Amino acid sequence: MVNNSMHSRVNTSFQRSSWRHAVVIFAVALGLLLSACTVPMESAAEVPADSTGEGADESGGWVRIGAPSEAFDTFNPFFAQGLADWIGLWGVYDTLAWLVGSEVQMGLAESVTPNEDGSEWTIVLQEATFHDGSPVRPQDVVYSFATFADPEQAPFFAQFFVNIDIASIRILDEKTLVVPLHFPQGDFLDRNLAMISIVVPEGTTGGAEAIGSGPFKLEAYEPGKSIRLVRNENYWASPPLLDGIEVIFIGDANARLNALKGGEIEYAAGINPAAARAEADNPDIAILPAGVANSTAHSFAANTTIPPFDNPDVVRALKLVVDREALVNTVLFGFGEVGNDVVGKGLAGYNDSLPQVERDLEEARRLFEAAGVTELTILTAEVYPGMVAAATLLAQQLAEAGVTLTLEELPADQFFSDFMRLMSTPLQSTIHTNRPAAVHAALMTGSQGGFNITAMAGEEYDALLGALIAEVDSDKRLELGMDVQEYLYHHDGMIIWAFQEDINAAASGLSGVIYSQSAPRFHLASYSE
Amino acid sequence: MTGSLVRTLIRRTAAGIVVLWAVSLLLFLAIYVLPGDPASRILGNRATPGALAEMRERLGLNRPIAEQYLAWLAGILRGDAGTSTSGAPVWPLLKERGANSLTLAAAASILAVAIALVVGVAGGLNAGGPADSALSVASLIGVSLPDFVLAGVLISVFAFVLEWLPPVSFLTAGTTPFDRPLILVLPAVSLAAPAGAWASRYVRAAIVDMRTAPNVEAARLAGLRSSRVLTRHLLPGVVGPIAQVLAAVTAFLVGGAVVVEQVFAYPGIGSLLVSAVTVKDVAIVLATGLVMASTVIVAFTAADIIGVLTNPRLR
Repeated sequence: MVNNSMHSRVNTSFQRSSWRHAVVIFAVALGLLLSACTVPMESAAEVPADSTGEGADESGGWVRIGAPSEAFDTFNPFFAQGLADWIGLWGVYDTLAWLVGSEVQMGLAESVTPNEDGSEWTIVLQEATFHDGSPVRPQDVVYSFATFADPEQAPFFAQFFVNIDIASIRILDEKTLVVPLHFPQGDFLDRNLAMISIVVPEGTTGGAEAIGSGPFKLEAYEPGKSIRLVRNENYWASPPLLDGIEVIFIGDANARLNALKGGEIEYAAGINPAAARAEADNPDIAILPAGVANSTAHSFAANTTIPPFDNPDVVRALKLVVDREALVNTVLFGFGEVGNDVVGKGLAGYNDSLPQVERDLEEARRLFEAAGVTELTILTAEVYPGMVAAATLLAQQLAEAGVTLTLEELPADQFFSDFMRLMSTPLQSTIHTNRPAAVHAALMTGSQGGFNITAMAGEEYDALLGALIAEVDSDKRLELGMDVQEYLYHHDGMIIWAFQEDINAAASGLSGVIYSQSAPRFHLASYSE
Repeated sequence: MTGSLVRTLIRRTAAGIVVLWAVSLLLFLAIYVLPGDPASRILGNRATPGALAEMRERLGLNRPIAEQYLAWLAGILRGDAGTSTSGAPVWPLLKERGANSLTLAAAASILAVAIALVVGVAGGLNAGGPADSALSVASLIGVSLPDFVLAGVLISVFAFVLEWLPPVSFLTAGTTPFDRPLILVLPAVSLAAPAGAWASRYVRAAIVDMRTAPNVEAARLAGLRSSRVLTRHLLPGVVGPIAQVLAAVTAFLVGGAVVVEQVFAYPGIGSLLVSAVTVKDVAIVLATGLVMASTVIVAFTAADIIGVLTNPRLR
């Protein structure tokens, strides 16, 4: 005989509680859907740096790499976003040219030469073959350009290829092609090809069977699990020392570090600054700050067309009030360098003759007072670790100058959700991938610039930037780049307070890793336990 | 089975389906209608008016919202979960990740049920005694400890101090969890401990209530051996509520999977959701969200039905 009253009592309390749990779980799930982690990946691939060590002589061995991946990645070079896919893609494919350290180097292209006014570029290819033995032909380059230029197929990269007049490309012989541009461009090699110029066999788009001409061949690709690459013995340059690499998808930075410490991987791509500090004395692993060249520029962006920042004195006051050292030490745990309001520190063409902006509280106070500014608001979100903390610290620093700063904090995933709003916000936190100053200026500033949230434009500036973009002679372009930076330094509302370094970690026997555009490349790496 | 029982079961099942539909609508609205524009979010600081227009077209955002929802719902009903932002179909991804999560959940469920029964029955039979108090405190800690904290402690102890188990649970291409079952241990324990601890409190309550039930009292007064009282009179009475609690454990595991899979880099559906949220892949977020929500709803509906079957008064 069953006691019914007991049953219903347990039932009721259970049901009440289970519904509460259901609600909590649902809320958590919904919160997750809507929250977190909105790192805006600029082309997964930006910043170069120097090699982490000397390539050793011994060959052989496997290196396992833990790297974050993206849910939708499919090993498609025209669409990939996650670092894991990019590490694999740069093993399997060659690029015409690439950035190593702060320098543009030739890759699959033997040479890339402009005509007099930069309206046509001649590309001569290396004698190279794809992994199936077929030769790399100009037709493959044309196909790759055309696919990259198609915003449907390559929405994240098409901007680098829009200027190519693809229909008019001429193939001169089995190694040479002439690429006409819609508008003359002197920095086509630096700003476009060196950023991204992967060449795939005509008609292909990567995937689990991808065939390239790169130092490694794809052996296996399984979403969510790993990418396995083996040495390409027939590589046109020298074949890699390693037998192969396996890029394992590990999304969480702490999990990557745990995997490294536990001997499950030999290289962790991206670890937390706090963890890096904690592991500094661990003899089994090497913490590898990637240098300022491989960094993210943190900034406070003031729109120079919106009050009060349409008054240059207020922008000036804001620049003077920021205590950059304090921000680097507290917000970035010291893993970074102070910025000087121009992107590109540590990279070729950076204007380091500009005097470092130093804090001048008295002058800032005077300028704010003269302009009658006592209150400001900043739009911020934890889009990238440290952004909100930096805005909070800025509020304290502004308070010392008699200005009250109100933080308008958005959920991270909402920050980028309204383009028009960001374009009309007086003051906001933002980040940029550190890339060469001239490249950054051409992409992000001026009337033709993309995400130009400081509204940095005007006839004078557009003319300066236009001259830079059109200049074919690299020495003259360097000079013009310096001028553009000086102009930005004096007139832009972009206050770049620091460059936060990427921090990677590796087993102590790994050497010869090269960084190009934030992604480690392993074709010259070697490993001895 | 009586007609009224069948009717009740149909009613509960129908209610489950309605809730599921409501969840699908809510998920969809949460992603498409709440502030902002998915295209703008995906592009981040690469957005330009032109790029935005392209991305909106790609995501089908230019169609009326109702049409988008109906198209998506019709797809789901046909077993087509749509394509991700990259154009890859979502369904194969879900199947593969779902199978991994199911493997982990199965291991975790067995553990959680064992914890719930052992702790709950032991506590319930010794209600008020020191063992009960100790177990009660332990289960309270288990319930209140966030999974990621527990996972961190387990990793420190079992991977780094004792070096018995791997600190991460990733899979490499061509392998399944069965090739390296040891990787399941720490995530399964991290998932099972809070769920088991929570369930043990209900098991204990059911046992305590049942001990004072008239039939159990009567059996004891009649001088039956205590083991016989337990197996013949006490346990049969608590099977219903306990089964119900254990069905609800599933809901716990679904919630925990999101955190635990991420912490251990285990390629399941929870880590897929986290990854999809990061890149704002609407189709994957919707599909994983729906799978997880349906699992919870099915579990609670099952719990309800078990309740009905074991308690005639609820029919």
